[in-house]
Amino acid sequence: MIAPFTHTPLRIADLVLYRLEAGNYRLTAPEGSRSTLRYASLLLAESAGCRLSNDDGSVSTWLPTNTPCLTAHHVSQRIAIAEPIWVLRLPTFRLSGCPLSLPMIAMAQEMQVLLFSIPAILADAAHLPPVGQRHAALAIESLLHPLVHNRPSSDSAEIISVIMRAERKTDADAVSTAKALGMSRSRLYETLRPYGGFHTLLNAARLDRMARRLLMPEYAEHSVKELLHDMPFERADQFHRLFKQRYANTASQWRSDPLPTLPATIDPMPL
Amino acid sequence: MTMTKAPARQKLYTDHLPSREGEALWHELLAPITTPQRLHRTPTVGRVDAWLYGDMLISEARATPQRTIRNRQQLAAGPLPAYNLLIVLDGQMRYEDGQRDCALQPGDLLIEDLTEKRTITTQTHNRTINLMVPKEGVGEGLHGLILERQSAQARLLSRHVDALLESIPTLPAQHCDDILNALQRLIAACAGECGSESHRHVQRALRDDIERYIERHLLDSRLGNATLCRHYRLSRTQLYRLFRQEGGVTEVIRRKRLDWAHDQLCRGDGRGKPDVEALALLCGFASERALATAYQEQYAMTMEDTWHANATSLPADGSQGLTGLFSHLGQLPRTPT
Repeated sequence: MIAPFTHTPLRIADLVLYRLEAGNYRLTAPEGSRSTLRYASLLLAESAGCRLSNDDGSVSTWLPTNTPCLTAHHVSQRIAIAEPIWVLRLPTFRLSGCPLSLPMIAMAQEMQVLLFSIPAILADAAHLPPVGQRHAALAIESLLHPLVHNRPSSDSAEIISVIMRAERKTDADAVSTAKALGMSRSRLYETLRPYGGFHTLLNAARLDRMARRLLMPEYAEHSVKELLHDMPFERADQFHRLFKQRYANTASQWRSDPLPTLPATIDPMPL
Repeated sequence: MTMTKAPARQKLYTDHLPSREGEALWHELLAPITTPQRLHRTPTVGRVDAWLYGDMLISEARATPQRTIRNRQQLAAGPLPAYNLLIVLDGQMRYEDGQRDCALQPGDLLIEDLTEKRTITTQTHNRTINLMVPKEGVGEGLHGLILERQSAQARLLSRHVDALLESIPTLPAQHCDDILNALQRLIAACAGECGSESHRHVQRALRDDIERYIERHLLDSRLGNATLCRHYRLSRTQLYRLFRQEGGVTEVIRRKRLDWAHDQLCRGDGRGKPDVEALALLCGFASERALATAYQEQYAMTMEDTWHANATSLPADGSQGLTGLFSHLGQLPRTPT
C-alpha cells in the first residue's frame, strides 16, 4: 500500500511547503541529479507525533507531539506519521551557511508557537511579489537559526566554523586550515572525506554564500558579474562551472527561479 | 547592537487612579512618543502591558477616547529612530500626517516612523498592539503605511505578532537577534508591495535625498532654491511641488536651521551658552533679533528659556532608545491591579 502523497507544494523562493497525509515516507537526498545541494526538512506534527528511523529501521526516534523538528536529509531516512503533518523543505545552506549535511535532528520547544506559524506565513507570502517572497524566505531562515544553534556542539562544528572562515580567503588551503584546527593535513582529509573532501566543502561554502546573495533583495540591483567581484573565485568560468554542478542551474537561472527541477526528496514508500 | 536580554515585562495601569493623577501619569508615560489630548470630558488614561525583548518593545495598550499628537516641538527633543507597528484590535481611529488622512478599523495595521509627525484620533475606547523595532534593517519611507485588514500582508504580520506575543514569555535571550531579524524581514516583505505607486516612491525618495543634502549643507550660506535646483536638475516649480506640504523648500531649510540652533541650545555639555549672534550668522539670519523672533514662533519659547531649561533629549541610538523607553515605563509609579 502506498501512502497518499499530497504533491501540491507551496513554493516561496527556494523553500517548499508540503502537507503529508498519514503514512510512511522516505526522506532522501535528490537522486538522478548531479547536484551536490543538500536538503533539510522541518516537520510540524500538530496532534500526534511521528517516528523517524534509518532506512533499514535500525535506529528509531520518536518525535514528540507539537515539537517542531528539523532533520537533515543526510542519509536515507524513513518517516512514519499517524496524522497529517506540514513539512518545510529547504537547502541546508539556509540553516547556518553550512555546506555539510550533518545527521541532524534538532528540536526547540520554546519556539513552538513561532515555528508552527510558518505554514500560515508561507500561505500569505505566496500573495506577495517576488521581492516580498524573498524577504519572507529570509525571515523563515532567521526563525530556523535557533534550531541549528541549539544543537549540541560536536567535532564537526569546529571544522565547519574554520571552513566558514577560510572560504572568504582566496589563498585558503588545507595546510593552514589543518593548522588552525590543530590537526595534521592527512587527518583533516580523512575527516572530511565523507563530505566530499576539503576543496569540495570550501567551494560549496563559497557557492552557497553566492546562491544566498542571489536571492537577497538587497543584492537585486547587482549583476552576477558584480557580485562575483566579492567572491574568492579566481576565474569566472570556474565559478559558473561549479555553480551549475551544485545547483543544476546557471547563476542567473537560479536567481529568477531558485528551484531547479529536482526529483522529489520526500517519496512515499510501501508499508 | 545591544546585548541580548531575556524578555522583561512591565505593566502600568492609570485607569484605576483618581482622574487627575491617572491623566498626569498617562501623559508622562507617552511623553517620549506622543502628547495625548482630551477629546471630551473623559480623562485620557489607559493601560499598558509591555515586553522588552532585545531591541524590540511589544505592548498591548487600552486607552480612553483621546487624540495623540507627535509634532515638531516633540521631535526637536530627539525622537527614537524606530518604527511602530500598530495593530488595531478594538475601536475606530483616524490617522493624519499631512499627506494622509485615513480611518483605521479593527484588524488594520499601521506602520509609523517615530521620527515623523502624525496625529491619531480615537473617538471610542480602543485596544491596540504596538510593536517597536529599530528602523535600521527595515529601510526608510514606511511612515504612514496602512495595511488593510483583508490583505495578505496585514494577515501575515498580525499572525506573526500574535505568535510572538504568545511565545515571548518563554523565549530565551540568545534567540532575540534571530527573532528580530525575522520580524524586520517580514515587515520589509509586506511593505514592499503595499507602498503606493512607484511615482510616489520616487518622489518620496527624491524628497528624502534633498532633505539629506540640506542637512549636510545646512550651514552653507549658499544653500537655497537655486543651489538645489542646480544640484538636482529640477525647475523651481518641481522643487516647490516636492515640498508643498511643508510650505516650500525655503521653509524646510529655515526650520531645519532653527532645529539645529535649538539643538545647540539644548546641548548641556558644560560649554556655556552659545553665542546667539554667531548662531544667527551660521543659520543665515540677518540678525540676532530675526533669529530670536523666528525661534519663538517655532518653539513657542525664547532661546534664553530653552538654554535655561536645558531640555533633556532621548538617546539617539534606537536600541538604547527603546530600552530607555521601557525603563522609563518601569520608573513610573504602579497601580495595584
